[in-house]
Amino acid sequence: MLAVVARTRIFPVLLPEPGARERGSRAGRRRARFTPLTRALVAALLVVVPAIAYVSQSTATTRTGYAILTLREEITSLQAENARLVVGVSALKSPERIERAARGRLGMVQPTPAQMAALTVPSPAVAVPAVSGPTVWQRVSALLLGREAAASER
Amino acid sequence: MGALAALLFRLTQLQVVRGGRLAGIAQRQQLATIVLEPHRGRLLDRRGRPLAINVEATSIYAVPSAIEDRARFSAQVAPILGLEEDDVLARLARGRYFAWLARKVPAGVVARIKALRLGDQIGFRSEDQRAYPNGVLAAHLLGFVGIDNQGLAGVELTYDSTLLGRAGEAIAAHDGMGRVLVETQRTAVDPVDGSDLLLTIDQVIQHITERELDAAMVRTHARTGMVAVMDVPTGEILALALRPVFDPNTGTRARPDLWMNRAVSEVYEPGSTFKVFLAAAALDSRLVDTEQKFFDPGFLKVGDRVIRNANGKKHGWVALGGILRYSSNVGAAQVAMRLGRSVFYRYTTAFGFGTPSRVDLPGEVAGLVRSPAEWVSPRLQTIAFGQGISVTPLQLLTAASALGNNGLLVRPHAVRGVRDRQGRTTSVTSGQTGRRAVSAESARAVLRMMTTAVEEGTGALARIEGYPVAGKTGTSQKPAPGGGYDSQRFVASFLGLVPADRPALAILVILDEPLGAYYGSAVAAPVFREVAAQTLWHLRVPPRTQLSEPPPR
Repeated sequence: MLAVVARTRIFPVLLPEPGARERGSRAGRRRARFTPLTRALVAALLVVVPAIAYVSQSTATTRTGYAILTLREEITSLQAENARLVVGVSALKSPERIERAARGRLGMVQPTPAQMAALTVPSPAVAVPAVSGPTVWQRVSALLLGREAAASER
Repeated sequence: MGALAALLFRLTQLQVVRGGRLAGIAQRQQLATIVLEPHRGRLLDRRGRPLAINVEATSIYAVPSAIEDRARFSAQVAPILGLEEDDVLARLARGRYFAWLARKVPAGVVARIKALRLGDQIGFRSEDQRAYPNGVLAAHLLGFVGIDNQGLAGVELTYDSTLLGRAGEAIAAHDGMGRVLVETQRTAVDPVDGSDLLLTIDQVIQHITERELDAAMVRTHARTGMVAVMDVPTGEILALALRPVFDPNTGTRARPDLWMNRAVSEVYEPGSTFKVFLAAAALDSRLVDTEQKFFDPGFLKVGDRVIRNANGKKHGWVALGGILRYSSNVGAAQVAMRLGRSVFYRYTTAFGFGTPSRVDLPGEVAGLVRSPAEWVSPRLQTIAFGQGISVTPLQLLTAASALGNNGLLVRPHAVRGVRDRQGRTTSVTSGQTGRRAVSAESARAVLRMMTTAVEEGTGALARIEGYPVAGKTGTSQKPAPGGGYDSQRFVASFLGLVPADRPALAILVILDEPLGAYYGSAVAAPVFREVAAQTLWHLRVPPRTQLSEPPPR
């Protein structure tokens, strides 16, 4: 009698290697990309970029400082020049020089009393500005804000 | 690997182990305290015109530690700076890092020194230098400053603390070339510039006064001269001129005897100008009235001394007005005897004689008024005509102002107010003292007498067309070195107020030892007239009477 015997057949299955599951995942893939060299480069970048930024900022500050210093010197120099000009103007406007020029160059002479006339000049009418009294709102605000009230007092 | 370890080791050593100490050393080398110098306040005339301002000047210093060959260095710079080589070497020996070589030198000298290219052996520093653009104008009143801009005379000295301001302080790092690194500068104390002073003098009136005084000095060959103009109601000094004079720009290089402001620092015997105060005392005390007459035979015997009038003139019976008009010494002596020493002394001191006027100018002296116990004959009589009493010119002018101010004394002053750098007035000076010397009636009565003295008496040459003048001449002998008085040396003076009906100006003219004519009426009165007339025109004071001719068309 023939008995039916179940045939066993082995099918080859491609199983993942140990650790392959991990390599296949996203984190694994990332880890695979960050080689030590990459890591070193990134670290260097993280240090160097802020350092470069700091140095360039520092340099800019120093450069601006020198520019300010130059401007300060320019201000001082202009002030000195202005002072020298004020001295020159004062010397040119001195009564002694003006009199010398008036007498010498222009031939002017001192007027005698008889050459002078005293005129009676009426004093100009003093224009008094019309000052209107404070409005209700001004009074209220004056009441609330003592400072403004004091300022509005004459 | 080994090299890296060595580097790390060195890094740790520098940054961690010695880091603190090295950082401290670096800070000390780079950081320095900077003194922020304030600018000295300006002096302005009463209308804001500058009389003393600051300009920039360069000072030169050496850095001794940077100089290798000092002999060569001194040989190079000494001739340019006008110094001896030994002097330069001595200066270099005084400090290690800093030694002044020359302060506030002209630009040409700076350029020549820079051309030597001495590098870090020498340095230049900008400093304020005081400049007086009008030269000698008002020199004695303005004064001058020293090399460090400290006031040494005049208003510059009295108001030194106001003008000086306050220095500030900052800390900053320096680069390798010694430049300040602005971004590191931290101001600890802000500098405060000095305030400006608004003076009482008017540049134009001062010029008029000096011009007329110069002309008088040439005319009379006087040894010294002085003219002062005061605003009667306020006591403000409008002009103060003295001769000989110095240029404040030359500062301490000028002769020291020229610096003294004789208007406040020197006393003199006022002579007959003092009679107006005798008259005021006589009227105010009611011991003498305007009608009472005294007999003047030309001399008066007092003990063993004989008092005489000038030129031995006899005036006969004269009232108080006549005594002023003819400048009678004999009459004045009799009035003084009528007053008595205690009354006369009281009024003398009431007018401010014998005490400083408290004017804001340095070096003021009190004058010399002896105690009444010492006013024994003939001193009482001689004081009546201004001998035996010493006053400063400014005291005399201030007392005269009291007569023009209805008997009220004012305090003379040279500064109207103080202005900050923004031009805001921060303080104002007042000349009011509230002290009364005599009543208003007495003061007015004396002014009337002084007016007559000019119109009809000795002060004829002081008359000004259109304006009534109240004045009194003075001619006093100078004390002789061996005692007594010198009959060859005189002080001529004129004291006047104008317009007499409402005095605006009090003017005193003093000429010391004029040659030739020496009477106050002849040499001082014309100076008064010229100064007063031009000042009245300048101040636009209208004439009181119609001028003789209409102006030409």
